[in-house]
Amino acid sequence: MSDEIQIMPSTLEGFLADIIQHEKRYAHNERGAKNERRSKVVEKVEETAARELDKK
Amino acid sequence: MKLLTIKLLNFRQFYGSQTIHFATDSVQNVTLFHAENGVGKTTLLNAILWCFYGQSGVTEKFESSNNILSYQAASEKQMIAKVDVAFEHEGRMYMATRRHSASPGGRPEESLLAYEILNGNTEPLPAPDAFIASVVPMEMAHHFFFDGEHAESFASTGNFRKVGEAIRNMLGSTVADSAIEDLKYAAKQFGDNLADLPGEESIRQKSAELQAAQSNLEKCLSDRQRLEENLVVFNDQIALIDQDLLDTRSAKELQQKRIQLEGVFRTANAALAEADRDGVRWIGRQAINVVASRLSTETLHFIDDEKLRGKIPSPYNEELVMTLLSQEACLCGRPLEPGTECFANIQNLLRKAGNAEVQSKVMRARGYLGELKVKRAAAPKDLNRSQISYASAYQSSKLAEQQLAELSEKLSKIDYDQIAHKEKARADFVLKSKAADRDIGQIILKISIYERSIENLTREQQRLALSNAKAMKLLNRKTLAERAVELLKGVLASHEEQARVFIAAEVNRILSVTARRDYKFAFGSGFSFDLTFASTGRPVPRSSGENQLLSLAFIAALIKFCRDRSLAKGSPLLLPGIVAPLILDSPFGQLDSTYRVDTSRFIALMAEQVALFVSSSQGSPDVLEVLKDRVGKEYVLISENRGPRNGKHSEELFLNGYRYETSLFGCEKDMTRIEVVQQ
Repeated sequence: MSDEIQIMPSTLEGFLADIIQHEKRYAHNERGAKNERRSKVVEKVEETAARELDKK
Repeated sequence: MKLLTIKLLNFRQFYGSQTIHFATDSVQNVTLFHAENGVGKTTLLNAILWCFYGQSGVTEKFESSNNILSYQAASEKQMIAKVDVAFEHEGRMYMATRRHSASPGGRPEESLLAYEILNGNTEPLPAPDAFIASVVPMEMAHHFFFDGEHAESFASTGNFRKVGEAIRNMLGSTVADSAIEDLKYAAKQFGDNLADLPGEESIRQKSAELQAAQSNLEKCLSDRQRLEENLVVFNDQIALIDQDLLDTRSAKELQQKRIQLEGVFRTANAALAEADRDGVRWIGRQAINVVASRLSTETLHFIDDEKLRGKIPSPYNEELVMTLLSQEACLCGRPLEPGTECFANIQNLLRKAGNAEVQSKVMRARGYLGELKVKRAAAPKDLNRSQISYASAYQSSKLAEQQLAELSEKLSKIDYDQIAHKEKARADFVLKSKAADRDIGQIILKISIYERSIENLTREQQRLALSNAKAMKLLNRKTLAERAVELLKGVLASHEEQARVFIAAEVNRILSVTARRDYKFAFGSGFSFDLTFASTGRPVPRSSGENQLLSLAFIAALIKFCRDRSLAKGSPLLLPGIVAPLILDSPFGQLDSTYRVDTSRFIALMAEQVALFVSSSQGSPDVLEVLKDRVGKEYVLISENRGPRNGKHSEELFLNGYRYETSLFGCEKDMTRIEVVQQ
């Protein structure tokens, strides 16, 4: 998608593992949790990008 | 996971408290339920689903799922319905209890509790829903607790979405799927923020264009998938109609063959008639030879004999006698005077004397008799030739007649009324298929245009963002979410492909031992089922029975796949596989008796624990005989009705030599009673 924004594979894998853990916590609680679950994914993207990408 | 017991309290028609113990033996692993339609097979299956997952877990056939309480109980002001399921999981014993309490005029309440059973005591588990979902995730449960009357739906044309969903469910990809959706959502959020960035008109504009292009691309990809799925359905339909019409085409071929055979038949009959006439001619030609055989032989002998003896001399002779009389002298020189006795004697010879004409006649007769003898010798050969011609013509005629009768029978079985209808349907599908093909081509073109556009816009967006810290931050977030989506999709696609390969191989293995013919199964485009004849590669025209068999084989393969995944160390992105009992409601509904027997052989092997619901028509004696050694527990569901019989037929079952009347009338309660079958 991008030639200039470099994301290390380890960063991507760590991020994905975190997202999957998060999704698993919500896997058994479907009702009314979708918005909360998505908001938290946005937050996690924010956190990871701030930590791993913004400073570069 | 293995089911141990289920205890029902006022659950629908199962009034009062009733308990079922499941077979847990590794060999006698089948719990068999006999029940006629409407008595409670589907309800019993759904009692387990309801206990584990509540109303959202029951099957489509379980209507009015919020209406759990037994009418009989409600009429007695009992307001509690409950299902307790005891099960063993990874060496420990647990109990799940779901309770439904109704209150007059109020909303019914439901609650789930789960316990671990330790030394006879119950230890409550803190998050029962999560615990049950970890034992058997709901999305997997429906492939274990299975409504068999809809079994063929997996194999029905156009149901590959269901198949793909089932494979993804058993693959445990629901969490990863959900992550993909959420990450896409996050990427879009950051993209929208970029497109709304205040004070940066060029970035805003590029970002807005990019968002629009991405949205269009998403739509195109979704349209492409839909069109490709439609194309599979259209082509499947065309293939099925082609198979049907092959009979029609073969009818034309049969008709042509019939015309040809009728020609052969006519020629053979003409040859037969000719051979018949030849026989008659032979009689005319040879009868005299055969009949005169003895006469001619004896006559020839006679002539030859007489000749040798000089009885037919040549000539004793009129000419000689006349000379003697005219010369009046005997051969010995003595005079023959007219009027003397000697003269008179010689003169008398004239009456018997032969002449040249007589001799010639005798010789001609002899020649003719000789000819008769030669012809007589040739007569059998002549007859034999005639008989061979007759036999050959007869054989050709009979063969043609027999083949014509067979053709006629084949032609009589073809439904000609359907041909025009099918031709029209086929033409419609061909048009639709062409249209879908054309649309796909156009969409592929659009996709490549949007992809190029997105690539350019992304590059442009990044170039602009480099000079703007806020934009760069948003772009980092968007890119991170997008790359995570791509990575997850790649991993899932790889797992899915492995699953497809495994399941296809397993389905083929099952079909090789159960199907009547030599079939070959493969996944077609998407998750469509391609079933072909192994020998010819032609598609199998699938009846409901074959669809059901194929679906059962698919389910068995899914269960094995899931079990193998539970044993192997899987991907952290996927939920682990599970081992669970297989509960099949009416799995033989569409199968004929042969398939039922063949299928029941492998049903017991489909899972470590199997519960099977059968009606009397499905649980035929031959099926029960096959299952006999695998049944560990056996129950019969008996419908008890308070009302009178009113002429309704008596329904009864004979099991292990005992008689069970399955519909009773004039009873104390309206309910279904679960009775243990005596062994």
